[in-house]
Amino acid sequence: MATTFKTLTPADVVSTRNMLHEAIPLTGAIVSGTYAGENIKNFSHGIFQSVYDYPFLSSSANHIFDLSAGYTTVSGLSGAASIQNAKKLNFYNEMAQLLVGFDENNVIRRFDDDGDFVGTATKINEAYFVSFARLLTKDEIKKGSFSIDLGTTVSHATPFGGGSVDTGGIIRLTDKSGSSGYKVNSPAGEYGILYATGSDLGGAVVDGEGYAKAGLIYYQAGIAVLSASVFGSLLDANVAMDGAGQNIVQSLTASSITGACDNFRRRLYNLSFNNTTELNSTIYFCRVNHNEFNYSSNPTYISSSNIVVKTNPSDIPVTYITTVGLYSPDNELLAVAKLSEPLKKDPTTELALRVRLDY
Amino acid sequence: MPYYKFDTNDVFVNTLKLYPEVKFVVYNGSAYYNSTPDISGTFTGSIRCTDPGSVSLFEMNIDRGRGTGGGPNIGLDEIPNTGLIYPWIKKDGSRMNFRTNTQASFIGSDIGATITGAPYPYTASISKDYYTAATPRYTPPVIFDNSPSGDDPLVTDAGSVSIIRMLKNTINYYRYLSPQFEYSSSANSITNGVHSRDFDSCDLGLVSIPSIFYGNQIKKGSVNLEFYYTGSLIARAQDTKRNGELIQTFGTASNNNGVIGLVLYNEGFIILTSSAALATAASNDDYTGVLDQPRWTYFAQSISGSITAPKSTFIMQMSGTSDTQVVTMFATAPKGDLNHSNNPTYLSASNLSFVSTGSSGYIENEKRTIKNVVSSAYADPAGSFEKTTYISKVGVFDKNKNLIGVAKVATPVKKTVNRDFTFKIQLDI
Repeated sequence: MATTFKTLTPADVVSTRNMLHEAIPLTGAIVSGTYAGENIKNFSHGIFQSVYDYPFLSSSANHIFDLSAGYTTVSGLSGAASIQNAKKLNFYNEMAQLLVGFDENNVIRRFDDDGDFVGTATKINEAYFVSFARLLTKDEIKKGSFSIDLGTTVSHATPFGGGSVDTGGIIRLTDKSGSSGYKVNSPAGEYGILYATGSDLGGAVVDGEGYAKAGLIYYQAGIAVLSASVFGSLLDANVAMDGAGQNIVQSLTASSITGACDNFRRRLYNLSFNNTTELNSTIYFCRVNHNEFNYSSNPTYISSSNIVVKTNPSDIPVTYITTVGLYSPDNELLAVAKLSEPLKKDPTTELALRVRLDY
Repeated sequence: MPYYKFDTNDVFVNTLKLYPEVKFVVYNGSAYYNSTPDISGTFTGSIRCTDPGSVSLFEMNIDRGRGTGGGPNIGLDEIPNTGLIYPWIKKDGSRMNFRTNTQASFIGSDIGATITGAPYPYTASISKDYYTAATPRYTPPVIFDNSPSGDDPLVTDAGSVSIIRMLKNTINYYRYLSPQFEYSSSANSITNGVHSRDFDSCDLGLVSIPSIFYGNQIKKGSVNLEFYYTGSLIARAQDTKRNGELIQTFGTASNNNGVIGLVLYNEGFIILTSSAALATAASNDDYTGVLDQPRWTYFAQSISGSITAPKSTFIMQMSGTSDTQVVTMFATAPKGDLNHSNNPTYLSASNLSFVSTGSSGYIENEKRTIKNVVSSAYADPAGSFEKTTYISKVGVFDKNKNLIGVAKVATPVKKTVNRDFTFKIQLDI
């Protein structure tokens, strides 16, 4: 119980926010191949499939993302002959409503690969949607950290071909401008543009650094929208999405959504990003002036009318600070901060104890 | 949509006390928590990356091998991709750090440097310490007196304190529960049966249980220890008096009803003090590196160091205690109220919503018919009309009428003019 109180002024209290990050690597082997599909949950509605990091019947398994595919009504892929045509249209529209919103005529906007909604040539009309679990993305995906490697060899049997981004066989999509060049015109928060790079980008319009726009990453929503052109028009040659040799157009029309997702997962080589958790804190600077807190009311401070921590009666008074109490205006003890070791205090010293309260 | 204000008797805040069961089976060098299986994975020997006696804090990195490179560095910050999920921060003025990063390393790094934490999982598990009579409970520090030269004293050895010694004050504090809680008793101690017992110089076993397993405290009267030898139960001890005394309730007749140990309910420790033999001399096991008879001080000994005690199995059961604050709200739908809906399906589709519409105007139909949903055995005539709604959800609003919660009922509740309902809404806080 304190006998001396000091009032904290506004200058002594400051609110801060710190960012805690986690590195999230997902190798392609986790999502395709290792568990023979036992970590992939398909639903009777067939609209999307859920991917786990371990067979989902195990209580240890964590949901890592949902995967789906769709296209818009103006896409050439839309037609009565396409399998699950309505579901692919509906899913695209649902994601577009959520992530892109509506235009001035109350019509759902399409995904725009440069985010400016100008022109029709830059629309992403066919897309894969990767919706990451909140367990992984936490408050948001860290801008400028998202990366996904996709196999781009023609062969379905060897989708990566033992290659690399530089030598071919793999392209890499990153939000390279994310840390500074992100967009804010989405109802779902901030998003960045995914740029593809790799020596297989023969069909793409690349910029001076060899990058081509290939999708969008929504940081707070934790959703990646990948243009289906990453397996088609961006490349030198169409890749075989399944064992029958279907190209990307055929995969999205002649396959169900889950079938298209299976084909996508087979070509997922690596995926990584950093997430962010915001830690909000209040810091109380408890300032101890030279002429304060040099005596204690602790019963052990005095023995036989002498201060026990002093050697000679003529020495200056000394105390050892062990605890800081935070009190309400009514002098009710609200919180206690303990020091790792007692701090020596005498009239020759001044201290500023920094008490941080996280919430 | 009508609003109803909660009265004082409509909102309650209660504390729900729960007693989750905790069971550890200790055998052959391993502990098993609540029958958790130890499953080997494709990339790891155990998919949880920890033993079955541990809880994993976030249960991440399932079936991921440590140290296997996962690909290129992550993001513009060039965070190493180890194939494992791990936390990291940037050093700044906030002095945030990870416990695994030493203070010296923290001070030595520059502002803006990346500080990484240990990869998941972060785990907790029970542990066992065995103290012989000769085991030193503490080692005093070595301090070199520099006062003749006018310098401060120099600490050359910081010394150490054992866990049992650190608990001395705590153990003595609980003497009001039982005289058995006496760290060091004299020859003339009033305590029956513990004359001249000193925890500093007697054989004892100490089982430490992290609070993540039991919550606020171990439930009094729930502790049950069982000692098995070659598969047969040879002794059982329980805190039947609920005062922290562990009393043998099964086993060697001479030991029965005797106090064989103590439980610190709030701190999560079990102290085993009885070194009386629980079986004949022919029944022995390797508890301390040499063959010996089973004794309570050897309980859970197979998780103590490299000891496996292959013939012995130990089962430790208890209940934890957790408090959950619950808000209970009673939302009442009175008679005569809530009998109309603005849902378009409430009205009959046979009436148009407008009387007239055109390029210059729109006139709404003021006389639309409410759909008669009263059940009838015949399609025509239908049942006598009665205003009927189906309540499917209850919204909870704050004083500014911001919607702050929605409670949905499992199936819509039929509401007529003559019926009133009270919905009980519970919210864990």
